[in-house]
Amino acid sequence: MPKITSWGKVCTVDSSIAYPATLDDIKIAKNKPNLAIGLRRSYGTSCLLDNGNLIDMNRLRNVISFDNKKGIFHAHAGISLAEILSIIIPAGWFLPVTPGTKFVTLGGAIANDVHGKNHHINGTFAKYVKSIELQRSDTPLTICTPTKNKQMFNATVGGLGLTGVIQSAKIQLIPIRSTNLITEDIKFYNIDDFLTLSEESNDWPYTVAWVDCMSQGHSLGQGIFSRGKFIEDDELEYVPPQQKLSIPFDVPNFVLNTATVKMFNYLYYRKQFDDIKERLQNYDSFFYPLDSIHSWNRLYGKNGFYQYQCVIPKKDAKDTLEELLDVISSSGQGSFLAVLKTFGSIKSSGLLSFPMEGVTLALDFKNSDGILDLFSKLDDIVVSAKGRLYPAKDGRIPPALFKKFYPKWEELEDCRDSNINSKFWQSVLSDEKN
Amino acid sequence: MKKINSVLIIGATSSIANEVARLYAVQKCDLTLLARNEEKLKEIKSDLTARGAKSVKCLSGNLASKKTIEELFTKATASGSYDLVLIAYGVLCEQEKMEQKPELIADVINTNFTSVTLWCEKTVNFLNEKNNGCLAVIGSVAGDRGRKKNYVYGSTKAALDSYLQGLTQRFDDTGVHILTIKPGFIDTPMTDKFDKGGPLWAKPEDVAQDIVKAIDKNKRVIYTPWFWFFIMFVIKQLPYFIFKRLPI
Repeated sequence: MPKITSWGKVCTVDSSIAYPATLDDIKIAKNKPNLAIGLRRSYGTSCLLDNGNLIDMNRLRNVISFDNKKGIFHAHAGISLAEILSIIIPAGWFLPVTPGTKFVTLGGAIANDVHGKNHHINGTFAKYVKSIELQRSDTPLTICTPTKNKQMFNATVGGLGLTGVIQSAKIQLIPIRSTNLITEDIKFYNIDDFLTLSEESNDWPYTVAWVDCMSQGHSLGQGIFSRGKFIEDDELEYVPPQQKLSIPFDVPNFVLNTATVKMFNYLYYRKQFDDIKERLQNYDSFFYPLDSIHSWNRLYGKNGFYQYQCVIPKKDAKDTLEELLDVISSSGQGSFLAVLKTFGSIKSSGLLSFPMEGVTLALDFKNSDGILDLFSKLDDIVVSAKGRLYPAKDGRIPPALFKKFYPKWEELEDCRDSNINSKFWQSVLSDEKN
Repeated sequence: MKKINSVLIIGATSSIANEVARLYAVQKCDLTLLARNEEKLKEIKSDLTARGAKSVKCLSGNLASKKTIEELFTKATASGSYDLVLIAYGVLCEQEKMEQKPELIADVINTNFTSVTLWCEKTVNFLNEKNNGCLAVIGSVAGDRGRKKNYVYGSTKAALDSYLQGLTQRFDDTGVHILTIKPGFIDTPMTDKFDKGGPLWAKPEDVAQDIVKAIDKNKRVIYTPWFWFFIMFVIKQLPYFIFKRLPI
């Protein structure tokens, strides 16, 4: 059986794997658990399964219809967001919500109810899903929409692929009149600054910030805030993005250490001399900066890495974020990929949707000694602030905590197809038995 | 090469052909698709239309029988002209099976070679009437040196290779351009029986990009992905006493 891993490369499983080329080829086995997988950009165990039957959806990329008057796009679930963009951009449409990589499938975007830089205005991906064709082992093909089979719809968006195999889905796009955005990069000196900037940028459709998670003391929480909006120059030619760099092998472990990361962060913060830098940016470099580096996950070496992504409710955001950053920077284990973003108040209908009104912090950590201890310290802070963690990013979330973060997990369990499971969900359930 | 507006694909349900068609659909071309499986063609048609194809015409029938080739060719060329003809069908039959049942070999040769040459002759003459266009044919690296694991398949592709070399020379001074495509290991349903671990396996969508680029650049032969040129170069040069020991 082939060995399969996820983006974080911390966990590897043995599982058989099927590559359906048509919808009829999708077979949910009865004698072992199944799980549909896409491009496996989830970091942890939510897209993995031991000794099961993985259903690789990547060959199912047919577009069923594209109404370029109304911006309604209907396709098989294995199509990637990158490919969707290549089709919709020339017609003047864009993804309503996009995560920081375009290398995820339509099915994966739904199953993780992904969010993007416009969450404060547009909410999550689920809001734009008009219908889902769901294949389950116990019923005929189910069509779920926000009003029809509503419960199954809400369980499936953000449902980690557990409610059935998402065969295809119809989404509403948003109109654009250019492939370029006007963007501003603004330096901030602490978390207070960041929160003020976020508040002031509420009418900018896209906002995100990089935070220096290594700096301490008076520079704690310094970073660069980016905001952008599409311009209207009618330039809609689609240029296939080039991968500029490829990491051909796992980088030796010593390359990324506290000193090199500190140096990177120091330089990155100072590369921008002025407090505000305004520029015109192509959508690809604004939304997907890391996509230009092929296999960047190899930078973290052969032991892989974790991402810790939490959201902290608005009320206590400042103190809690400072506390988190303080613990991280004094541990010296942070990395150069640390992101802050304000979530708006739009609630997703997904039972297990991650975002809530507040601020999310996402950081990568090389898999090394003591990292799990650091995470449990961070967990305590997140719990006491009534925040939560993102299953798509997590490779180790304690089941008891997960249940606390997502009290509706039992409703999802009720909707789960009994022949579908994931390594992540198995661990959630195993906690129950103990 | 002038811009391609109109494309005829023979064997349009094959993975590589499907990916090539998707690229030309985005370029808003008129596409004519030939394949045996009518159902699959229908699905491909809606996909290509949604992706931007100006028009998609589908014709189904047995591509490897003399009689239907005549019919399909007439229908496909009844109206208009083509800038590109891509021949992309073939069968990969298990070598062992054919050793046990040699009569199967004739079928494989007919599908992979004889019928393909019929299509080539007909379409290349059609292109030549307008003194314009490209005929692109999918061969295989397997044709570069016969080996015990698949020498029947390999020999059909070797024959096709020689045939196309001659055809290329015949049309050298004309406006018709002939491209021989030699894919390596491609991750398609046709090769699902193999263990696909390792860096040599490529995705059909990447191969399709290579093909479109080669057509644009008027290349005569391409190996795709590119490194297969070097792999096959070495394999062709290997002395037999080494070659025979290789587990390939």
